[in-house]
Amino acid sequence: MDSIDAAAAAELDPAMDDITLTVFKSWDELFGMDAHEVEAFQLKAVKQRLEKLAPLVSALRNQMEETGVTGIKTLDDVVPLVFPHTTYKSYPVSLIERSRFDQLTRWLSGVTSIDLSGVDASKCQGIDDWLGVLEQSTPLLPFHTSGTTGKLSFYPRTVVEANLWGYHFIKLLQGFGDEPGTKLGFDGVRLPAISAAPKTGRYATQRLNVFLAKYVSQTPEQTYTMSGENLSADLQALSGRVRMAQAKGELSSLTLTEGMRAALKRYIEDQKNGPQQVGKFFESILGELRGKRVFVCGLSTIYLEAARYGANRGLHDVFDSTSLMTTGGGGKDTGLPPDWLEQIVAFTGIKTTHLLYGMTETTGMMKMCKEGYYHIPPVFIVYLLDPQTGALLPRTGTQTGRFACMDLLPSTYWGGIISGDKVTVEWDRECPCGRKGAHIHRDITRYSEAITGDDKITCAATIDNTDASLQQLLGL
Amino acid sequence: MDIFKVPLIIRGEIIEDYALEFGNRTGSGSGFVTPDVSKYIRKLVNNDPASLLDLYSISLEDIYSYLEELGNRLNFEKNAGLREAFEVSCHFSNLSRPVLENIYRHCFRGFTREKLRQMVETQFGSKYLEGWVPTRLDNGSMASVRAMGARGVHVIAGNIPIVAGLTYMRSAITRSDTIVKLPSNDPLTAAAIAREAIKMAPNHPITKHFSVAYWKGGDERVESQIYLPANIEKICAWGGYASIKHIGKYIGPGIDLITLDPKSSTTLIGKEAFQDDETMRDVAMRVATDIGGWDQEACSNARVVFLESGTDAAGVAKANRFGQAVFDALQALPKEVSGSAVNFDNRLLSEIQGILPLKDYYKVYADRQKIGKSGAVIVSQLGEQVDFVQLLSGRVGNIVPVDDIRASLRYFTAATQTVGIYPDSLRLELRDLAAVMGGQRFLPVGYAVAGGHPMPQDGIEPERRMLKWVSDYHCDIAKDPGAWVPGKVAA
Repeated sequence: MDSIDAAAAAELDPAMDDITLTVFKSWDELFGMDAHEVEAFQLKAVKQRLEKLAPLVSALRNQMEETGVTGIKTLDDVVPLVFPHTTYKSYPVSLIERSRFDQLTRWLSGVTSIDLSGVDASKCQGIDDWLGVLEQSTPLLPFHTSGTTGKLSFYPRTVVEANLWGYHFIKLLQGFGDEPGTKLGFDGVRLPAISAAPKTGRYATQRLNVFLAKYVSQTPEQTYTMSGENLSADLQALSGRVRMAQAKGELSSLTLTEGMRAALKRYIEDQKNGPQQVGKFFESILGELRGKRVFVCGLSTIYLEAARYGANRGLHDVFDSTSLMTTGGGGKDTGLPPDWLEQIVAFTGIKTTHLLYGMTETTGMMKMCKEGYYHIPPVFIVYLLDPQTGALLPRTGTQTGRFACMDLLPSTYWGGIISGDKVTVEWDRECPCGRKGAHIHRDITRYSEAITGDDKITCAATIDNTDASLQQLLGL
Repeated sequence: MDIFKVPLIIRGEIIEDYALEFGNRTGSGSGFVTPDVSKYIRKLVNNDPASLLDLYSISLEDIYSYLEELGNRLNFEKNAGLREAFEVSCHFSNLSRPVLENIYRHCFRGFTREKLRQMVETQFGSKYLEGWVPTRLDNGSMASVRAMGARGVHVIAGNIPIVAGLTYMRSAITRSDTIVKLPSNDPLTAAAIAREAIKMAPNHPITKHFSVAYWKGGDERVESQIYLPANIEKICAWGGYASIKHIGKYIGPGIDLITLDPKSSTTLIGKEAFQDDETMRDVAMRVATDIGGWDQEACSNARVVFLESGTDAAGVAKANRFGQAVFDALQALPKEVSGSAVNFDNRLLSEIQGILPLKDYYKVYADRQKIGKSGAVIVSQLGEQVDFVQLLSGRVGNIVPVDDIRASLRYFTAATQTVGIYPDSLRLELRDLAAVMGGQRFLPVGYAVAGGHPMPQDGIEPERRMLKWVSDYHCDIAKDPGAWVPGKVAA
């Protein structure tokens, strides 16, 4: 019963610690653990992470001081130490405006145990440049993400942790109990991989593209992505910079280099052509891949576009039906039509499409079982918080609240993070699928970012016409 | 969930057919029921301008009398209906209870003849309201102008209940027919005023030209029928970007849009604040009042405070001492003046928590475990505003040390309204430039939420905008021959 995917573990890091090695165990073993076993594992693991990281990560030390938490006796004790999501974007944006990447490096060093003192970021011209310098001179492979405000968050994952993200993601294709599965990648099954997204960049998807090219497809050329254009962090950061500058009255001093201006124009054009690009992309790969067994992953919205494109051209069942596919789980408020999954399956022909829930902030994703629940693996300690007060909701019964997670996989940064998702967890329910442990209802929404409803008028003064300002900056 | 009743009031008629339920978005667990406005649209809209004629059977003095009596009746001690409205408002407002009660006790004190007269005479003048004001033109003709009331919808703000009373007053004085679209954070104050008016004078023209309704902002079924030039001439919208954008689609010929959008006010403190410790504490107390008054729920509240302390180490140290003094003064404000917000913005809380470790960049003065209760004063160590200025609320201020206070004028935006300035000499020196840069309301630090001044708001005279300015010409053919007169070439 116990089996460890030793080959994969060894390939990624021969010196992996016990906690991290857990992720290579089989789903049968992990979802076969009783609640007290899981708790015992989690408590031991989180204590270990805290002990190692507290002396090395000043943001964590600071949080311990602020909250008066000196040690962990129970899982609940961890909650005051879980970081708000703003921790990874708390840097003053003026550091970017003034190209003070040396100071941005110093800021980043507060959230990682990796020694950044040797990094020379003094000549960096922009964020992409800076991330590149970090990659060249340290073990870091930073992930960035952008929230609704447009300010970029930076997650200081190492190469190993980035690969763990990928592994924990493809591991979801492996079976459980009577459910068949595929050991995808490494010394298991290698398949052509399709990721309908830009090829390079430092979002989770682009990091995953690199992982797929190395460990999932037979050759790197057999990982198919949408374009050669790099998804630039500088471009992604721009709308956030404009928004903040507007609010502070600093718009007139925002400057763009000619290179940025040109890149942004191209990006905006690309965005306009979006849906056609998806269609063209599939046209281009079907020549080689039609009827073949493949692995497809990515956003539901993109694949729905592809499905519509295909439907217009009478294309259906384009891949071998035993192919593998993962995509976002869709939910009440995603704006997807009710038959979105049927449309996608009609196009791809892939009988089993796995629906996933996850985020950049946690290592990998969670899969929906046939009963419609996302099962939480033991390496994630999940907490639900009251959306208003932040108080911990009981870890019993059925609870709805703000999703927070202590991700036990990272060993160089603190994995405790609060998200903006509204989630319902079943703590005690026994799922008919056979997996033990807490699980999450399929309908997941975001807690509204807006303080004002349509009809509540307050003085949160936002002159927020970012798009128009961006156009103006470009001289369009 | 506690459910309260918000009536639909149409020109003196109270409709209590409570068909629809709406929840409270701030999550306090309360909601309200209200009639379905779409069922009463025919009654609510007024496509007959002639219906306003009855307002011209009364004089401005009569209007002052009406408002004065109404103000007297809206006395918190004596009026059970008003106290009830207050109690219900506590479930919807983000204002702390003692502050909200204080507002209810004082907000109708502006309804005195003297104050009303001052408001009218210092702005457009009563003669325009009461008749045609003639001017002899250089060509001998006589041009007369009269200000007439209009049919309008006011989409009012709910952050401070004063807005409801102010809107009623403006509507009465301008002889307008007004529909107030209620905000969900103050669904009752306007209704309470209308109810009292109906008790006081059910058949009075002013009572018969005021309506109060709740519908969900953006509800096309309702709005597409109300916002037609045949039915209304003016929309006065207190809303923000999103709200104005969707009202915007109804704007066309025949409808005049008056925007009183949300503002972000600012504060400039000159180096004189540091001349001695006593002065520094006095200024800190004033700044705390500007930040904390009305729980920082108003447009006019201070948020970003530019402080001419200098940006070198000594300057930043001064700024930090000032920040601590402001925070301490904030805690000491009387509870009727300032209290903690009912719901503190979670996004702001995350941002503040995010910067707590960044001691080289920000010093945060707060009760770290209870920021929502204590508020916070953030002193930027690098002389730059925090990245989340648009979220500052719940009594959170950002002090920004600068070398030259005059340079801070460049940070004014289209949203800058109130500018508190210390000292007075600096205010007088800067006010021309500050006005050019976009500031709209200058006053000494400490007076940001003093309220109730009969002066322009947000750079406009809302009453003047609510009125229609109509001209009439008397032409004397002897002095000003018309184009049809043979042999004369029209000028």
